[in-house]
Amino acid sequence: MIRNRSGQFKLDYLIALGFFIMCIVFVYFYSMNVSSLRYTDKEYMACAISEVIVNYLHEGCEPNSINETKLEIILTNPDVFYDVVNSYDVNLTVRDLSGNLVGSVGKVYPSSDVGYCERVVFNSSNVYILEVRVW
Amino acid sequence: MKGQTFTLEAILTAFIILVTLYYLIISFPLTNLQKVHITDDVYVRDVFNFLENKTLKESILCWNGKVVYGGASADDFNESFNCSTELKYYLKKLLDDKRFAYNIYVTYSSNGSLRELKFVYDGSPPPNAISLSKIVVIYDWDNGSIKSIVPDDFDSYLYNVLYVKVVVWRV
Repeated sequence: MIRNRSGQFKLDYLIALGFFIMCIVFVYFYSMNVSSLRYTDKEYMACAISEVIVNYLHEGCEPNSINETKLEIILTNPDVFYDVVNSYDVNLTVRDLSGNLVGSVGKVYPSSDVGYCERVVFNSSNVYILEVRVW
Repeated sequence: MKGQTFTLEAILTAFIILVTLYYLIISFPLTNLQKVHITDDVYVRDVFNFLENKTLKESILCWNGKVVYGGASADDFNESFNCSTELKYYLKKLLDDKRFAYNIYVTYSSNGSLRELKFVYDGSPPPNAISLSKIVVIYDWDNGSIKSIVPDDFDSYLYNVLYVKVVVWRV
């Protein structure tokens, strides 16, 4: 009788301990999410390359305002594009606000393990979404 | 004596379990924290760089002070403005459609102290929400219903300076 009771006490203790450890794990992952933005190396690289492209296209005083002629050049001349990004495993896809394809340059990207960064650029009449993929 | 000890143990165990459950409940995020990436941060800054140059000032100038609850998806969005504005269209295309929620606050100075107004309110943001600020300068020659809310706080041709604070997060 006493042994049984002792066994139950141990089980209670283990359950409480299990809950406590789970609590520590959840709080740990929660605080990791709060403390910093998550990013992978490829996403970081995609954002860095997108910044290079936006800088190349930039014209005027406002940030993210672009020269449309330069956009046409970069979309139609892969050599210019690769000169600007200085890398080969990159794809740039440009869409308008409704998601319609404006143009694409670079190799076909793989279906997984791709760093992705989206940018918004504009000129006086149009808004474009630049999708940069790196792998 | 043994019965009392077991009762005490049971109370202590129940207490530990309740405290643990409490920690678990407050630890669960209400929105998906995992999805906030550095790319979102870059994107949101781009969106507001664009809006700043396109429609932000015009929209704030003709804002009538009524808080827009629910963002650009709200049915009564246009009731908060005394002019037609493209803000709803751009916010919907660039943020709502990409599953972002956002609050926009407008802070102005009144007799030297700062007062904050809710402009667009989508709910309470999670702790890791992206936040940024834009400055909108209103001059004496700018016209709009915002002037009935925001006082002329400067002697010169400067009317007031608005600090537009934006908080964006994934939903």
